[in-house]
Amino acid sequence: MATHVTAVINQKGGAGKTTLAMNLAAGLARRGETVVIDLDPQGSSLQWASSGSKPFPATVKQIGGKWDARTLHQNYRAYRYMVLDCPPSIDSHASVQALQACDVALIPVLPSPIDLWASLRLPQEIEDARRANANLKAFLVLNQLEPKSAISAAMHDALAEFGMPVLAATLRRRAIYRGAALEGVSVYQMGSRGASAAEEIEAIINEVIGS
Amino acid sequence: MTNLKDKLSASVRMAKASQQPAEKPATAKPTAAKPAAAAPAAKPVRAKPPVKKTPAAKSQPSGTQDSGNALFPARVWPD
Repeated sequence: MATHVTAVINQKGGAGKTTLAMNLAAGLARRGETVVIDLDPQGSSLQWASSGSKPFPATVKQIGGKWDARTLHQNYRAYRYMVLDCPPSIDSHASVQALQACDVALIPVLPSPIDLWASLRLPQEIEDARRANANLKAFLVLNQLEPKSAISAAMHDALAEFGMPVLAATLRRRAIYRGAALEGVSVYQMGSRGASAAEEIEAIINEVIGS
Repeated sequence: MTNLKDKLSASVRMAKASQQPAEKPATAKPTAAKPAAAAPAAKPVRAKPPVKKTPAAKSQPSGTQDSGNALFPARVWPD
């Protein structure tokens, strides 16, 4: 069976790419062998997985230099799922190749006008990537939502301006996401404290895998 | 609330519009260069008009300078 590849991408730093990628990978690892490819030179995913007291449920590898979608698929074909944690630059070799290698691109966006403005180039980049990867699906993911905040409530309307589908599943702003990173584990491994966050990740996986 | 929604959406539209002209030259195909013969003759370069010098401060019969017409007089003389 072919590896299902999800790229977590956004040119804006601090949008929650690594947090989403790592927890997504942990959720996917419950369904099959999963590898996270850390494409960010900062190596945050690798750092996250290597600092835990418990083993991280997915394998995390870092690759750099020149590579292409075909060699990526060949090298990691033993895995059922692959999650690409992209660098905060849409023009980088890694981001361009990631969009050509993936089945689904997830774009986390924070409820902030600055994040919205910074992400406006992405729909065009996705369109460009579809020339080489015709079946590419892309979704915006609302991250760090604050239910009582007016700007969070206004985000759905604002995201309609992107002309891209938005996942119905969203991530709320929760301290447990940061806590899990600090402990080098996923929210699934945080017991009852991580249950609500794990439900959010599960909802994203079900929506993406079922899409 | 509605106001905030409208404002946020409008700000995204504005940002989108402001980003589009900057992106166009990068994606536009370069147009073929016109033959040199078709190029319009270069206009003769206009000589710069001579810079008008401010008239030198006139000396009054008493020997003191008149700052009346100077643009930046070193000293403003009392009337």
